[in-house]
Amino acid sequence: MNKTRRLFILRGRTISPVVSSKPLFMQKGCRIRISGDETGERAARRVVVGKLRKGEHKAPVALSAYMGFITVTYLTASESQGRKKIAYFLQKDSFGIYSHEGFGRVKWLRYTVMEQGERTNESKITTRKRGFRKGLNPSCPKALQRLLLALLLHDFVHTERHHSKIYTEIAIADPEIRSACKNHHSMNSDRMNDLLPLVKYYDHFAASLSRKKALRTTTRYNYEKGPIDFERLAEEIEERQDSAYRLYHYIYHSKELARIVEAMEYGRTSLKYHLLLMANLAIEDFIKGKITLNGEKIRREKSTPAGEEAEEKLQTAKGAEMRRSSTLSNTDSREPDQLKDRESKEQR
Amino acid sequence: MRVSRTFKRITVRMRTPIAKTGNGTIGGGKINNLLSLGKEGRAGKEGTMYLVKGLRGLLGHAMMALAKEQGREICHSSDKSETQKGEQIIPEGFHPTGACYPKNECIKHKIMGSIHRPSRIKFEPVIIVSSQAKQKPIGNVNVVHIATEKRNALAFGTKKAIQDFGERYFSGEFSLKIELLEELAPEVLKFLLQALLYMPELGLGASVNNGAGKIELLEIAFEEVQRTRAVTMQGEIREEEKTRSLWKELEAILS
Repeated sequence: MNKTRRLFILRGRTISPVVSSKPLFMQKGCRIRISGDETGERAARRVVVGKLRKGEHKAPVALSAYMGFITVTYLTASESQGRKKIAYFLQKDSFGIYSHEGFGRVKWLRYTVMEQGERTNESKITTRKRGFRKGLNPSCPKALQRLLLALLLHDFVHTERHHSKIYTEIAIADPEIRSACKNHHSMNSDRMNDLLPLVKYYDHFAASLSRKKALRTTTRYNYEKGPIDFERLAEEIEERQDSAYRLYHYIYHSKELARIVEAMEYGRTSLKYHLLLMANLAIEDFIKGKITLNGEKIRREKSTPAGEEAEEKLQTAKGAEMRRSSTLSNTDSREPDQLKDRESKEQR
Repeated sequence: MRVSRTFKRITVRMRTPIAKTGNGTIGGGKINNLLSLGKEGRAGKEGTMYLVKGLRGLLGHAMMALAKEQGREICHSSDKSETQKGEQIIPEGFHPTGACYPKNECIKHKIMGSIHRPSRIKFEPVIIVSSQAKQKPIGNVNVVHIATEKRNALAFGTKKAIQDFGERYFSGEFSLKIELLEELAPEVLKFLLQALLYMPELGLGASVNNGAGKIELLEIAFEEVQRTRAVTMQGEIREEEKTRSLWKELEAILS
């Protein structure tokens, strides 16, 4: 006999941060989600808890925790089983690790039962893993190809804030791409250069997505697997600067670039990941229609009226976050002199 | 639907003139902030709630100092006996955390537990909010004075700064609640209470040697709590607590 399944929902709010690697987890067969508001539309507020070392949160004592509203959902056809599960969680005071130290305390607010057919915000939630394209589409427009070249080459030149991340500067033939790469940290932007605002935008966006936990490193790459020949690497990249297809393919399969860290403060992110993330974000935007092409001209359109408000909020929040944290900007904290010293040591 | 749980609880009301339990995010201005929990509604900037950290660690350290005075061997805060270079880090009179379990379980391990066995006590979060807040948050929140101390110092005889940072601190009264998850033996309970009374000898948070972290115990209550949560007809959850003082029981243990 086919019984209708029902969704048992228990809602509450967090009093202290729930220490967990993700805001969505399972416990006793129930799905537990922490969100920013009671309806579950906004993302939970992420806080980092743990001991400070020399004024900074560092691994392994930097723990991610989430605050906001907590929702426990259980889908079952059995009324008694559902009530039993909810009673178990109703008796529970805290979630996550370090609950004995006061973390993860919750206050329960509401209990509801819904039919399976009824749409809830919880049922819409899906987790998506970001994947990278293995190669570019053969019908990629010329203007987009030039943008991808600028994005993939932008960290291989000396800029106002940092030296080339492979120490050797690449001679870029295209003057517009070279200007966009050289000035992507410059305050005085070249208004005639269409690529420059896009390089700046995707550099910041990719950095904000990938830099979650700080891990300061003292070396640009791991020496254990042998030294990297940076001059040969620069030559290989320089050879492929004419074709976005060849350059993307080279970076996608490069083992050396995967070993090089993108920023010294964020040792978990590789340069390869950063470059591929930027390129893929630009391609996604082009597919969605956010990037428009007019012959040789390329520009990023403002969002549609429906999503304008949300995106505006997101941008202002991101902007504020970037202003607060100087380390989020794609800079190298070391002085040029230090870099020279480092470079000479590595060459030795 | 109705669920209830009965447990014993120790409530300690204490006061601090200045405590720096900063472990929160660091803003652009090099300020070691307290751990922020956000704010409710239109509470304004002053309405931000903070979590007081380090109380469990303070109790653990008080237990160690007390046991050293009493001449009994208990667990150290570290679970490692030596560094990578082979230097001994466990002082005399202590053993690595959890090394005593299960054969000769020490009195600290019976209370605080380790990786081998969970703790028998549970701390409730101590949440503080500034007295300048326009709207007091809902729930069990301690209203205290919260401000920032600027630490600027110049090197003697020069004009070069050797210190340039800020530290958030709080000052006032707050309550610490400790739930007993299991029944403790009288001897163990006595040691726990003694450790709580020993806490002011140490200090809470940072800059203890500079005068911060001094705490003064005002009141200790030992009570039995029956916490009931019930779902009303509208689906809302109502929480109630009934308490019964166990002062006589406590007096008998301490005597």
